[in-house]
Amino acid sequence: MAELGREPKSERGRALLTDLVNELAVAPSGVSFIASCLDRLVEAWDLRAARAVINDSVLGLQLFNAGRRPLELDQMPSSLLARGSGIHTEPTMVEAADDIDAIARLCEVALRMDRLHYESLHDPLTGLYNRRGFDEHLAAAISRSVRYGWSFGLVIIDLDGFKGINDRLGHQGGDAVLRQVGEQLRQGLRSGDIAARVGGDEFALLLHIDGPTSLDLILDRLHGGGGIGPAGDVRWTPGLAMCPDEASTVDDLYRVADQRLYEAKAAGASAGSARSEVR
Amino acid sequence: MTTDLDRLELELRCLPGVVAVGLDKDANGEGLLIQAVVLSPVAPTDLRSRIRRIVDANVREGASLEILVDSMETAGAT
Repeated sequence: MAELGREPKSERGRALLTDLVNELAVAPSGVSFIASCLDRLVEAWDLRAARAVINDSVLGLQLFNAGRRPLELDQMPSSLLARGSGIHTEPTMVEAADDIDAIARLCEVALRMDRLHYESLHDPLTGLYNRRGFDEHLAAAISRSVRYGWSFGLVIIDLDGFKGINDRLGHQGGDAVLRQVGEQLRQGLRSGDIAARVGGDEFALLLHIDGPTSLDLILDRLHGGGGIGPAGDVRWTPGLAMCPDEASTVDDLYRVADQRLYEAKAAGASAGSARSEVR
Repeated sequence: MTTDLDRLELELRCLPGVVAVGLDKDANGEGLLIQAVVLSPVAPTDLRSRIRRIVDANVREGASLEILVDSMETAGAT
C-alpha cells in the first residue's frame, strides 16, 4: 500500500480496474464480485464507505454495500438510491471519477449476468423454480439426506385434465390456472419446503416430511379442502418418493415419484378424493 | 455455479421491493445475520413470508433475519 500511495490516483484506479476485469471472468457470482469491487475500492483509497447503486432493467434499483455488510441505519435506503446509478464513495473521489465509473459499469455487467442466471433457474409464468433450479436444490437435499440421514419427500403434482382446461378457457385461462397453482403452492408450503414448475402442468415439491401421512396434512392445507382455478374445479394428483428410504439419486427419485403419480392417476386418486392412495 | 449465499442474496434481490441485502456474522459471531432492505411502496403484502421462505431454503442453520423497511416518506426505519 505504501508504494501504491506514491502513485497518481488515476494509475491506481487503472491498475485496480485491470485486476477487476480479470476477476470478473472467474468470479463465482455477480453479487460477490460487486461486494469485492467495493471492498477493493475502500482498501485502495482508504475510504470510509463505498456503495454501488445499479439500475437493472428487471430488478430496478439495487443498492450494494462494501463487503456485503448490512446498511447502517443512519441513512435511509431511499436516500442512498436517490443518488442515482454509480459507485458512491465517502469521501468523494473526484480525481478518480473516470476509473470508478468504469468499475461501476463492470458491476452492472456482473449483476446482469447474475440476473440472467436467476432467470435460467426460474419459471417466468409462476415465479417458482423451473426444473433446472429445482434440481439444484434437490441434489443438495439428497447430499444432506445421505450424509446426515435426514429424510425428505419429492412430490410430483400433475393437474387433472389440464388439456380440457386449456380447451375450455383458452391458453390465457390455462396460464391463469397455472399461476394460481403456483401462488397456492408458494403460500401453502412451510418454510424450508420448495416448489417448482417442472413441466407444462407438472409441479414438483421438495418437502421435509417423514412419509405419506405428513404429505396428506400438507396436501390438505394446499388444496384448502376444494379445487382451484376460476371455477374451483381444477384438481391435482400427487406422487411421492421418499429419500433416502426409496431412492437417493435425482433420477431415481423422479422415477419413483412418477410411478406413484401414474398409479394414483389410474386409481383416480386426485388430491382431496383419495389421498390415502397417494403412495 | 454460485454458492448458497450468492444464490440467497440474488433470490432476495429478485423479490419485488427488495433493494439491498446485507450478510454478516450475527452478534454472537457464530450464526449468519441476513439483512433485507425493502421499499414498502413496491413490496407485496406477503413479502416477509417470501423472504423467510427463501432464507430457509438456502440457509440450513444459525441464521437471523433483519428486515429493514423504508417507507420512502420520512427518516426512521422499522
